[in-house]
Amino acid sequence: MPAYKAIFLFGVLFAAMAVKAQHSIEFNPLYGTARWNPDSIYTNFAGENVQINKCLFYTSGWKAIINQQNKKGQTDTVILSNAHYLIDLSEPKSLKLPFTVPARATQLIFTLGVDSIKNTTGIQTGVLDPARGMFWTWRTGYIMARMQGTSPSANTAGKRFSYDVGGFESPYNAVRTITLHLPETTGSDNHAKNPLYIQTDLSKWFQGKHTISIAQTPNCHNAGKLAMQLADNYQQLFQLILY
Amino acid sequence: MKKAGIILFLVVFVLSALGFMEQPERKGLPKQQPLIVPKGWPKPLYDFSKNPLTAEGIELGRQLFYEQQLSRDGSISCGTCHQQFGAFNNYDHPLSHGLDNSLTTRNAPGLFNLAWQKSFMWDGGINHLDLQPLAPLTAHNEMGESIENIISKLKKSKTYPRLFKAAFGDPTINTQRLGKALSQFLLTMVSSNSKYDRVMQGADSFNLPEKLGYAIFKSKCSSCHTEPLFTDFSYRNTGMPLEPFLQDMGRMTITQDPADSLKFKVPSLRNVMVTFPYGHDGRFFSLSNVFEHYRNNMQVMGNTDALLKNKLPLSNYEIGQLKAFLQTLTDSVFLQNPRFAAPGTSPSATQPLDLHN
Repeated sequence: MPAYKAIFLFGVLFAAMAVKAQHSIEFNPLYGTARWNPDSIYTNFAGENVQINKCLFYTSGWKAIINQQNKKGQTDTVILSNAHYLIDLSEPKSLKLPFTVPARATQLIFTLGVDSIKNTTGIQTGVLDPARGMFWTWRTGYIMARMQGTSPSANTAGKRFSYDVGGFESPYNAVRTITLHLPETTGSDNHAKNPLYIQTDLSKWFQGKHTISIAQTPNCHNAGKLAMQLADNYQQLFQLILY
Repeated sequence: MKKAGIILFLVVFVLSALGFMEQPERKGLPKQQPLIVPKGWPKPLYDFSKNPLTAEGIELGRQLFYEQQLSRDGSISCGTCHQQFGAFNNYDHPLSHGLDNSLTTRNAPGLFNLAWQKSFMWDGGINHLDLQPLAPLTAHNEMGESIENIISKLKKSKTYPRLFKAAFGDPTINTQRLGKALSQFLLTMVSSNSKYDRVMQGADSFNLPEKLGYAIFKSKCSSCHTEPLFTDFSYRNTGMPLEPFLQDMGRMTITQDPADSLKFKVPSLRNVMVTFPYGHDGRFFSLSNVFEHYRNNMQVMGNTDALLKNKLPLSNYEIGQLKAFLQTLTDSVFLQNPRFAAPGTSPSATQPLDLHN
């Protein structure tokens, strides 16, 4: 074996070992800074009391941006997963993602929602099975994200509010790309194996890019302007921390 | 003896190897039965490569289409509101009956030539035939059942696991297979055997009123009710005022675009004589009502179709000839084809006599 080949192979092996430092990754449901509890009553920006029983959303297209530049001077993008995941904040098993993030990553990118191909090619299976309930049968399309609860401010039966946000076609495409920056301590030796948490702050549903008050809009059940505003808000739900 | 043993071994080995080599690509799956496209028709839009038709799949779809257990209380099947003698519309019903004395908000359309349709429902809100049945199955004022319960009922049944295995190669029952099987049956419902079709193929000829009616049709109706499917599948506002109780905004509900207000899909006119009442909410009792709407009663709105800005002038004479032509679009072969009837029954030889001219 020529020397350069051996050096090359050694390099690959070394690089592979370096990549091996990986963080597990998991969603952490919060309201503000407190851990979300379906029995607790919170207050939103408008002073409305809110109890949240349910929050689910689809994610897909998980990618990491690697700090280290490649030969062409570009940063590397690593595809972490092409699958869709249904994150149910009441379902602890669904919070932990089945892949890891390379320790050298500086950014984590994912899509909140279901891509248009899955919305236009008939009935899907697995987590995308319409039987999971995150699907509009009367007009084709996945419910990208759902939040439901009660509030004395809701002028509805049972004081319920319900946000089913979907729409995959322009101009009302509710799919959002989320880009999260990893904390600087990521990848340093002491933290190399610590889990990454995606802090998921449900208060942002009401106050993100837009303000959504339950008194004014207790329900969203179609694609459209309100769904787009809620989607802009849920784009801001997430923040990464490393324990 | 030893030699014979070796030879026998080799023969068995080669034969079994051949067996592996000659496996068809769709191992254990039933034989495909491609849809026959009527002469002169465009290519179907349905993607058959994802769901090839097979006798077993079509039969499963037929069983499911007529299966009342798919509804919450076991009282309604797809076939309840899509009746063969009405070209699979809900015969003589402006709106259909759902569970618990409920009523739907739209007129159940006839079902045929679905392989050529790119979207479904009067508002085009559903973008794939496989997904279409999920709407009536789950709507509270139709069959009112959850998909989860439907799948669990099918799994528990004595017959369905066997039928799913025959159609798909293994007994897995899921939403996707439910939709695919129903699609297979629905896709075979091709209506292309009317007198009009025979005339176009040179096998028959129009009588005088039919011939005159066809000429009027081509000058006044066919821009939207385009041959050979008798619809261009577009959404149009035909000056039908908003129904105050139903508040159905049509296509705008889907697109949220005010320009789509009160637009509904152009319905096919094939089998039109048996698909009364007419209109998305069944507001027209008879064809005469439809003609009267177009020539007099239309409410021309800002987004009413450009072709109808001055309504659609029609003389009594023209209406008479048009009716004669529209009769030629009835496909009695389709209306009585035993392949589309409920399993174990045959289509009624005597069609209902009621005609809403």
